[in-house]
Amino acid sequence: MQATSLHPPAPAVTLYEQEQLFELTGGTLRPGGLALTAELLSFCNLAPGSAVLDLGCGPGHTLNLLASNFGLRTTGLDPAAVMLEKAAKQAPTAALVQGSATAIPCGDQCFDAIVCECVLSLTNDLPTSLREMHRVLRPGGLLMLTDIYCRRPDRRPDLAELRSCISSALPLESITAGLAGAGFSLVSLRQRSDLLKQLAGQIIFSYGSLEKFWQLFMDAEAARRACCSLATAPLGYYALIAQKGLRHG
Amino acid sequence: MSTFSFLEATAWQCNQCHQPLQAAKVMVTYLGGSFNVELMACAGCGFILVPESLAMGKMLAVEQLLEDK
Amino acid sequence: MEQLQLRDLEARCIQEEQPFCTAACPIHVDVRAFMTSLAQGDLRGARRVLDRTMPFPEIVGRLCDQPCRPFCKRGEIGDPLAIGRLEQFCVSNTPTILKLPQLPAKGGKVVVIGAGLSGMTAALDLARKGRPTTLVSPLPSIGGSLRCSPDSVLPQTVWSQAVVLMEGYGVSLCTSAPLDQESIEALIGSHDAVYFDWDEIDPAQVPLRVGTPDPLTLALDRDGCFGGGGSRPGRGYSVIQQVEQGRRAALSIERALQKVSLTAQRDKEGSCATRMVTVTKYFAPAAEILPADPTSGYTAAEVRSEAGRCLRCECMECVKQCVYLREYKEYPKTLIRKIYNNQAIVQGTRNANKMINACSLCGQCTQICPNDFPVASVVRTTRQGMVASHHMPPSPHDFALEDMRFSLSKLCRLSRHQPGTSGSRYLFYPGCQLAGSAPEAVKRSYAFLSQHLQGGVGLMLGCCGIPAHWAGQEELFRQTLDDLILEVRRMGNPTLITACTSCLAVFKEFAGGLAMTSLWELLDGLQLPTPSLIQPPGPLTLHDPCTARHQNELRRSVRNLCAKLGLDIVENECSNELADCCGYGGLMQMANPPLGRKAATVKAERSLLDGLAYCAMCRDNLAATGRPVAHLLDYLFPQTAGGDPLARANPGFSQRHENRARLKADLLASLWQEHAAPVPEYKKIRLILSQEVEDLLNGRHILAEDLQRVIHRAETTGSYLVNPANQHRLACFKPVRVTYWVEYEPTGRGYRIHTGYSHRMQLPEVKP
Repeated sequence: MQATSLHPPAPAVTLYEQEQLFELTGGTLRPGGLALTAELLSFCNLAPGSAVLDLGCGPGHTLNLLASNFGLRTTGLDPAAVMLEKAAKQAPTAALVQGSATAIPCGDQCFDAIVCECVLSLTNDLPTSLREMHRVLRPGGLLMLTDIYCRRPDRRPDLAELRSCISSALPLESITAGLAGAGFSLVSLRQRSDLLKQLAGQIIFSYGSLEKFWQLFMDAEAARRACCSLATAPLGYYALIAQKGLRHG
Repeated sequence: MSTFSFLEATAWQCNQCHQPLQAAKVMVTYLGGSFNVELMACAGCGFILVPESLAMGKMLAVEQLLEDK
Repeated sequence: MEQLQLRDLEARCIQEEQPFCTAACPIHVDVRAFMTSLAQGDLRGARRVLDRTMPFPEIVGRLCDQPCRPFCKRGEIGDPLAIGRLEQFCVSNTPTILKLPQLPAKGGKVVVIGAGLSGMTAALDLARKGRPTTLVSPLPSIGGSLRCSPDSVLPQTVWSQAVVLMEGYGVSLCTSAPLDQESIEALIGSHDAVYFDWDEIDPAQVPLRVGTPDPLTLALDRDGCFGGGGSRPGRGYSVIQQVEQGRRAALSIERALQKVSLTAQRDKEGSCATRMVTVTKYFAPAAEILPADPTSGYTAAEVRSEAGRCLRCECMECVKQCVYLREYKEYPKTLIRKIYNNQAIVQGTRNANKMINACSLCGQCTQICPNDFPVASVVRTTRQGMVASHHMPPSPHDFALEDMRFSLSKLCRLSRHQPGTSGSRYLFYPGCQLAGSAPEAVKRSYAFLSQHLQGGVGLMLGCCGIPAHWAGQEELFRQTLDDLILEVRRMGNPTLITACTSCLAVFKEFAGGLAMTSLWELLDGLQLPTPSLIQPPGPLTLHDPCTARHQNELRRSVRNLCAKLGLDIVENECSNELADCCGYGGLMQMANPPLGRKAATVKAERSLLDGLAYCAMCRDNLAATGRPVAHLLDYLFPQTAGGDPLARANPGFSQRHENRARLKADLLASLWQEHAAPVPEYKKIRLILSQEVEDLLNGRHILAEDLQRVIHRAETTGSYLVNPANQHRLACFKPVRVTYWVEYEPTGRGYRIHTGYSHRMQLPEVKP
């Protein structure tokens, strides 16, 4: 459904910067929350003191989890200064840098692992981001990647008004192909679309309906359109672990 | 996970334990979804009150969402 | 549903076929849209429609010879629309509204030799496609035969307008060109394609063997050369034919330059056939509206009136009758595309699932459709697929399937030979809904049959399984039917006598090996008490159920019975094969309750008279709309001390359960001297409900039995909440999947119910 606006569009609202989603998901802004992060980390079994980069660290809840529960040496990267301010309070032991995934301001082979949750689809250059992630990982390093994906590329949701991982969801094939192209091999890939349902249920319990939730960010008509659009868009959520090759060529 | 509070002043009391209801954190589930909600319940026997407005309102909406696979 | 199947099915729906006028028009002007705009007084909008397809509207709109007019459907009920005169009015009173875009410049130099209307059209079309085009005429000005039209018919200004238009698209115009064999040969040699307009050029003078040009492509004997236009032998000069030829040649040239097939898929060019069907039955005839003053022509009001006579031909015949299609604003072609997309996505959404579950599967649309579009078949198959792939949401059908299970449970099911016999030649099968709705009628019918038929009449109470079939639960349906067939065989293969047309339809389609007849056909062959002991106060309209759609003999028997009983029956507009569904079919009223109610209302309102039905669900659903409706059995076997059959209310779901269980218990006791299983304790709980509360609970699908179970559990365990202010009690109980809550108040005479509600979300178990 194409939105025909009669007035110039308002500047796009960035979903993950909204307070409401903060509260909803217990401070994190993603399906699965910290529980999913912990699950992935347990699988990776990193030794305490390992260097981990949280790409798109937001307000720092994951950094806190990594440091407190898993004893890891953390670095947080985010393009938004306001996020890094929050992260400084949430995760005082983390090193924080401002920047984007397409140009990570760190040296080569600095990290044992990267956590990148619900962020990849927001970078508008998938190959470069993956290449950068590959560069900063040491050989054998692990990449934990979670995000929304689009099950039917011909039915992308039209959510022009809202900049979020939903409006830029890619097909899963693009992501796995991109990983292979950047030199990663796939260790585990799981489809966790149940987490989207869970998040939607939580939104309904909070706001009464999905449409009322969208009305927090846009006007009633746009909210209705967003609902219709999302209802028909086949979205999924994946959680994968990839590994950089041991021999670096 | 956040908790959704549906506490409200209520005249209902527990018949068995002869005491008023208090806030309690409860996990409700359906078709693989689980949600932490705060409801009025009896501290003595554990009887949990699901008010009509909640059952026919938000609960029903979430049930229908979860049913649409 | 596979892609191929989808296309075949879509093709059956003719709603998107061209209307008759557009199909007959050689350039397929959207006459319907043109008339719609004119009728609204939107002259500019009307001109825009012409601009979209017509080249040089100032010329063609004034002179077109209207090959469309004889096909105008209005001509069947009045005079055909004055299409030509209205076009004249439009182009005389508007400038160009829509300028068509031009494609980016490509290669491929084209020369059009002869600037009659055909050549002009070819040049314009090709220039718009981005081809560098030169238009050459031996005459000093363009127009060919049309040049000598008088000013009153064709104002001279149109020619300069045409030149400006063509040059605006980059056509190079070359008039007064000396054309002989040599110069023509040179033109052919220096261009990639050539079109000859025979209106200005004599075929004998071109250096080619012209012969008969191919009518499909207009190709001549040499590659890249095409020819058309001019007068047709024996048929003269047609203005629109010039345009058609020029357009056809331009397309041929475009394809030749792209080096693709000149002939593939060109059957819709020029006047073509259409599969459109338009029913004119409900339109009042209307004569042509002529200009009051012929010299000054139409007034604006006259134009609106004349254009307003347009029927706006379309099909939509099924949609006109079907509440479901109207509700979802679909016609069959778009409906199945939506259904296909839902399937293909594999992820359902509330809206699409609900739409799939809301169709009554009644087949009325298929009956109406000129091509028998099989909506019910597609929807039913889709539901089966959803169940098989675990995408069918449980709640819409759960209640109906529970109801079916109850009818098949020990409390309700029964199969016995006639008392005092050990074999059955016949087996009376009243069906679950008649037993639930009118148990007394079942008793009286069975008594009559037992008396009047030889060889023993057995009785079987149960459910044929159609709710499972409608819900897409094929395994459950098969199982139910197999059990029934087994039981019938065990009883010695008696002839089934069905009171319900749905049961009969199921047996005929899926258990064809059984011997069967309908109660109505059977009774029609017997001696009946005539006329009926009780008579309705006036004529009644007969409501056929949707499942009797293909049972012609049965419907005839019903009418014979009515006549024998002396009942004054009036047919309504949707009777017999066109019968509407009352909302029960396909479980519509479970999946979409408001739509179910609308369906019942539509069926009831087919006539102003009170009604007579012979299907228990039809009767109950129609009665629920407030319309007095009786059941045929009320007149065939009247109750000695019964109320007015027309005044019987819809019993509701709880009462139906009660009735079925009691019917079995009563019959076992009275006819077979057996006593049914002891009644569970909770059944003894007496409930007091106001009508309001009863309606609320019925709407929420909460049965009396559910209330009894909650109260029984609460009162025996003491586990409930109490409100000290009014002594109301609140308790809950989860029999299987659903948790029921009841607010009630114990009184001396029983328990007064204040409200009841339910949810499926599960709470943790209460610690004792």
